[in-house]
Amino acid sequence: MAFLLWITGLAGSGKTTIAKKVYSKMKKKHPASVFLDGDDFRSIMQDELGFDLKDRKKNAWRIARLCSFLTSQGVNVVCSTMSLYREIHTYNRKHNKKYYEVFIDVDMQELIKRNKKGLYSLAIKGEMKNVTGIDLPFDKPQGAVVFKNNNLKEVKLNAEKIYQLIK
Amino acid sequence: MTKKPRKYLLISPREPSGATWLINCFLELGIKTYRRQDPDWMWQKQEDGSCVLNPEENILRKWLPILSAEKVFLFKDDIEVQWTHEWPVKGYSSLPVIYFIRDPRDSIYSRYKRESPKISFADFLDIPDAATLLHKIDNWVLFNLYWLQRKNLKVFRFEDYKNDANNTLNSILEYIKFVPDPDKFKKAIDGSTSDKARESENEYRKINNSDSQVINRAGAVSEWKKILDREDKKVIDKIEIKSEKLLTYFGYEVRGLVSVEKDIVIYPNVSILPFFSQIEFSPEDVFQNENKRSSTLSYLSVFTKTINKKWLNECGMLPFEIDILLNNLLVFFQLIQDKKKYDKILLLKSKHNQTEDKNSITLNLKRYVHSVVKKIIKKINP
Ligand SMILES: Nc1ncnc2c1ncn2[C@@H]1O[C@H](COP(=O)(O)OP(=O)(O)O)[C@@H](O)[C@H]1O
Ligand SMILES: [Mg+2]
Repeated sequence: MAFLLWITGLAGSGKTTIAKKVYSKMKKKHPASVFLDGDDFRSIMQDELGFDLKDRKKNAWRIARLCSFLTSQGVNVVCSTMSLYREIHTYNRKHNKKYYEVFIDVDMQELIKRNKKGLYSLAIKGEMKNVTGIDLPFDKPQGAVVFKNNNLKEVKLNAEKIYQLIK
Repeated sequence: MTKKPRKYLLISPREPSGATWLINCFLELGIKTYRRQDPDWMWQKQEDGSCVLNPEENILRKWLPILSAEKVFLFKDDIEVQWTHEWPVKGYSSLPVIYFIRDPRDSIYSRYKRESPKISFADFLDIPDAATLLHKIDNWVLFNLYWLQRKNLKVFRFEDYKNDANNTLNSILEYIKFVPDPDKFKKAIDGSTSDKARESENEYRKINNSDSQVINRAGAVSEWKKILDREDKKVIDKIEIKSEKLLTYFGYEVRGLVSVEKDIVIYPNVSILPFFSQIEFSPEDVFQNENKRSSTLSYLSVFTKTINKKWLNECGMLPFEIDILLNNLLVFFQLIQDKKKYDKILLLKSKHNQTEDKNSITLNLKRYVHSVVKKIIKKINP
């Protein structure tokens, strides 16, 4: 039975990095698998959806629906996306026979320090709007396995732990 | 839906006019600036709200140094600028226009140097524009005359940017009501110099060594005064005579030259050219103060007589441009029912199609697929 592995966290927490690792390992054992990253999904869609709460939720719904569609066809999905909304998590749990949820929980202090794109510092100064975790709310997933802070040294180990979740 | 940003058009003739300087500045300042109608084609949205350049548009790195310096872009959400060399065709938005212009005696010559065809400057100008079928000088003149019909348009000059970049950028930003962050403003000026552009072009060419066309040449003001070749000088004079009114309007020096050739000021009966049926202004609007002369399109006949397969190889045009030119000539000769010339072009076209660049086809196809995907998404997401 196909599963959905949902790897979530705020921007810059390291979702994509870790999901790629898990996926490349998993792919060998489960060939019928796809990797769906939130950035890739946005660039495939290329439409007018913006980044306020309403549009972000709409985008999250699309991702969730696509994932459950794929698992219902027998395709395993590793999905790294923010989409941090309770209704999405509930939907995932209900519509995928096997659902694994991982939350990469990095403190805001640490995210600002990593500060990949200057996103958070601009948002804090008020120069950038619609940044999840600053001026937009999000829900931590309730049933997720949590990886706290995900330090650079731990990435490999964490990827291994995530891989072990899949039964 | 997110609040709609206010939008502007950045228009410049297709001759090198220095608008890339401004585009680079805009991108440095966080203004989402894009070509073609669709911002989402060039700028791919990331999940967190940032954007990355569509790899299909990598060629723009040749022009825009910031694209090599930065990978990820955080754009302001309240302003967008579309840049284009298109004419004011019907249905084109009525957005306010930033009009960026350069002395045609420099810009047309610069285009000749850039495309470096194996033909003389004079012959180069005699190649009709692929889209409009106008002679190159007329094309420049009419492009301006048409755009200047627009009420919500403000002219900015390349020469002023060269003279004082700070001041020019400031007045453009004022026009689009954009208040820059002072540090970013300085970074925009420093990061958009011709030296920076040349550097990034060289970097680009190291990786893409099949691409030999040099974009960033001298970029100087009043270069035309230094042209020594006698024949080329004559052509420069011809440009000046044909565009004198506009030169004066834009505040460029004119020398009061007098035409020796008769018929040198051509105001073609453009309405018979198929292209002009798509323009938002009618020729009557544009030429109301000019002497109307008809059938001044004889250059098209002369041109059609001279071209052949060898010419196609040496004219310096890209294969897809030749394709457009030949197609438009076909339409034109069909319209005026000149069967002989029609047949000649048809024959040339069949020869040309055998050598056509496959790359440009795939890219157009990709762009087409992209627009179809968008339409489908719109359908399933009311
Ligand atoms: N555990 C980590 N510690 C520090 N930096 C990391 C870690 N994981 C990833 N990074 C770096 O942080 C940036 C964001 O990582 P990415 O995986 O793209 O995050 P996300 O997909 O959650 O936005 C990248 O530049 C990446 O190299
Ligand atoms: Mg990511």
